Amino acid sequence: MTATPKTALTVAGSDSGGGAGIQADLRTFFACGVHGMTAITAVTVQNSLGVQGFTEIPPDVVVAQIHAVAGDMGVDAAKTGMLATAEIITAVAGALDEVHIGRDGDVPFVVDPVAASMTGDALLRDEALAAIRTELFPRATLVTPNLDEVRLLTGVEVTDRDSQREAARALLDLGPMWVLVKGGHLHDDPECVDLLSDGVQHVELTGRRVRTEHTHGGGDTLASAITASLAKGLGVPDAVDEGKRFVERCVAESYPLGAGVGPVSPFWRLA
Amino acid sequence: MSQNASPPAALTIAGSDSGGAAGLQADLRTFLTCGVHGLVAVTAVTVQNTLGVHDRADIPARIVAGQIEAVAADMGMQAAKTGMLASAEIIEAVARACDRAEIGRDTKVPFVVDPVAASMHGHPLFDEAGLAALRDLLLPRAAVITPNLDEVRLLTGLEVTDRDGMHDAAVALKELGPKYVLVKSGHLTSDPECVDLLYDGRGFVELPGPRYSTPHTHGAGDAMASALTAGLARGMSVPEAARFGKWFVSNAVEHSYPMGAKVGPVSAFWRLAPENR
Repeated sequence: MTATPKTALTVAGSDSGGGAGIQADLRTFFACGVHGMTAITAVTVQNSLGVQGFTEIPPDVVVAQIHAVAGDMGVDAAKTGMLATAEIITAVAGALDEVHIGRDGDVPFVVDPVAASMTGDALLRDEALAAIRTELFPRATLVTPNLDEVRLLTGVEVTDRDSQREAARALLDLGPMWVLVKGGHLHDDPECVDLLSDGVQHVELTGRRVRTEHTHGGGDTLASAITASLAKGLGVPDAVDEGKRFVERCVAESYPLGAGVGPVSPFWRLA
Repeated sequence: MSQNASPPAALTIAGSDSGGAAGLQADLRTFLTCGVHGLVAVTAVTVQNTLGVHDRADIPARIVAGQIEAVAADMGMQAAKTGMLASAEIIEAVARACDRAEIGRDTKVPFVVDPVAASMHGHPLFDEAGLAALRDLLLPRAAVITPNLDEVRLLTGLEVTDRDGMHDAAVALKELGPKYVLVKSGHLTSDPECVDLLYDGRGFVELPGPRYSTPHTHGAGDAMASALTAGLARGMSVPEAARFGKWFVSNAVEHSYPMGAKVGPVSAFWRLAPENR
């Protein structure tokens, strides 16, 4: 028997291809030494070419998964991924309050506002986007949108570092404690500079841009690695720094699988 | 442009355990730690913690089939396994999708059927129609089936109480059509050892292992079957993969940890590099 590890909960959708969604979250939690738990919101039919179909899980079952694991096993940090509908988002927000997850509770909460697919297409209806803004962001310890999601949520088109700061301000106005505005999709920038801000501190996190087309699950992996570090007790800036270093290595180790976009890899964490 | 090598891939067709100990969560974690990319067709989403299963949402059969066909057509796989299949309707859809995707029987993709039919506590997970579909549609297409003793009882009516009984069970199960039968002895708690039995219709192979006294064994059956599946995906024969699975699950049980009020999970953290645990 070994010691009980820290725990983290992901509230997200399943990717049958195993590269993104709860699959990316669980393998990242595991690779960071954290026991992963899930509240599945939707099951997608997905491969390296995209999403071909999906079914949503009834909101009461999403909520029951959160209650079952929080009540019995305990949660040291939580994150959200794809939440599918406004109804699910509203139900999740209520359940998180009841189990004291969120910026005003005991358990840090990372909102990865998955609203756009790999190709930038909107995945969510307008009312779901509105629910992310009004129900999830005010509860978040940290939000981690990519640039497509920044545009959908704030209307700000990030094209350079000035507009990245403008986006950070617009996101902070929605109520999260911290915002991380990724630079991942800014392909004309030779470096990959993410901006972390709580409105007072502005931290620029510089990383190397890896030349690969196989980046499926990169956003989920960053957000879940940050969540794992928060579960282990790190503060937000340190957790983000750790998460960024984790995802950089995963992107560098990504591999082709299928005809389209291959997944980022955590295999390098194994003995 | 970086181009790393693709690992072998394996598919699990199974339910989700919100507590992260068993089900597809255990399968994917085991695949990962065996160097295999995990694919998944979710059959049901359970509301579950260390006390048991409290609720469940079954996934529509066409979505279960859609997941299997989407990953088979694009990403490919070297082995597949089943876990909890929820209903006769889902089992029928899985059998048809496996035919279309060329999984099991005499295709290139070996199929491991872990006939999950009873909960941790031995309660049946589905009705007689589900059991009949499991027997008639899935067992005949399996390279190997991996029942525990509760599942042996539900599938054959045989009540196993000692090692001789395991031999009888293996012979009865082989009649149902799989190439190999692996009868797991974890529930034979009167035995001081944990000796699983592999049978191919000709000879018996004993897979010995220690019996640990820990109560924290949630996910052990899934870890065994998915490590076996990972072994097959990496090119092992069924006997080699069964030995690998037995070795893997013995370690997983030895490293299990307490969590929640009752049955904690077996662990795969021992597969991480020491600095990452």
